[in-house]
Amino acid sequence: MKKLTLIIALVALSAFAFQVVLAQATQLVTLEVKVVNKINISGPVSMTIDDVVPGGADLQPVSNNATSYNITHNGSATGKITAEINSPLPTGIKLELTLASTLGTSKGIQDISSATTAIDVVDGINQGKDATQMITYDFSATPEAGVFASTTKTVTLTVTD
Amino acid sequence: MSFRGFILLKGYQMRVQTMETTKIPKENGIFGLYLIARIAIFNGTITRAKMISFFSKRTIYLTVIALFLVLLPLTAFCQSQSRSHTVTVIVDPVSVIAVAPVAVNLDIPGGATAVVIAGQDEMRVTDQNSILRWGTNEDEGKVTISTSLTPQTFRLQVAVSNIQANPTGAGSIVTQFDVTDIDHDLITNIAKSSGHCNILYTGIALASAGIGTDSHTLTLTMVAQ
Repeated sequence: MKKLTLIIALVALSAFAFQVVLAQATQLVTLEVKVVNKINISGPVSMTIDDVVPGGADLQPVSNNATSYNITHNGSATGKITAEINSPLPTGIKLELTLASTLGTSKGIQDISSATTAIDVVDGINQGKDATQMITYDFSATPEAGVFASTTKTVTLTVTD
Repeated sequence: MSFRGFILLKGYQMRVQTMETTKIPKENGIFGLYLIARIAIFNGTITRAKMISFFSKRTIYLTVIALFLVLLPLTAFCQSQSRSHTVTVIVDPVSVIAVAPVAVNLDIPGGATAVVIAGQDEMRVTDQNSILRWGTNEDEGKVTISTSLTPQTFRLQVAVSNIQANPTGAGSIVTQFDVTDIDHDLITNIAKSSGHCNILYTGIALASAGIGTDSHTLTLTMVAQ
């Protein structure tokens, strides 16, 4: 008798456990994530050489680390950032670039004075994001280069797979 | 009024040649007909017969009313026929649900609505072009949603907006949630109504999760609450 009661109770409970389906419809939703390589840079940057090394004949170089970059990258684990300048600087005028990185490996100080062809500044970038990474510009000139009038250069940073 | 014909009277066959009626003057206190028939008996003897029938005014009125009452429904009965049979109407519980379009594509960053911000791991894309329609004559229903895909590489969230129902009973909207392989309430407290709403899908992908495709077959189910 107890077994019968138990069975009845279980059947009743299972009946309540399943909801009564009244109607049903289906929809296909495809979520596709393609390769994303996004970068943005703060700026602009302005640097002026107007001093000499104390006690020396060389001009005092200047540095600027006031700008930064952000990247989002979901491609390969070997992404990289390249840099190029729109036109070369004259002999004796040097512009160097250093990009910090936590997602990848910084290539350290890179001379972009005549880098009209892109050069790597960060490589080994993994999938993910890198935010507010410091950009450092070092600007130097030799006395032999003479006075260099104010010139605007465009430096392009590109993140790729 | 006059007529001609044959009548039998006391065993004699007679031919009625004429019959006349005459109104009796009103001042006599009676109202009736005074019939005069000229009857020709076949043996050639012409006999003049008088038949007088008197009716009181009240009797005539009552007779007219009685005839009216009897004949009116009888007339109606004669003019139209009625037959009856039994018609049984049964309305079973009916619930329908439909969603359109059949397929939805959420692309990152291919879609125009995709939002990717450099420096953020999370990337989102939204679609709110899907419409869910339902109709039910049952009380206390709800719509649930689940996906066939497990595990998922990316997150798919769903929400409902612009819910409308006729006459009332649009139900309650559940706040945005991640779709899983377990049924989750999308709309609750649906009363007897027909209605529709927009479905908002949000695809969320982490850049750190790489690229790929998640294909969901979503099942929207209306169940008794």
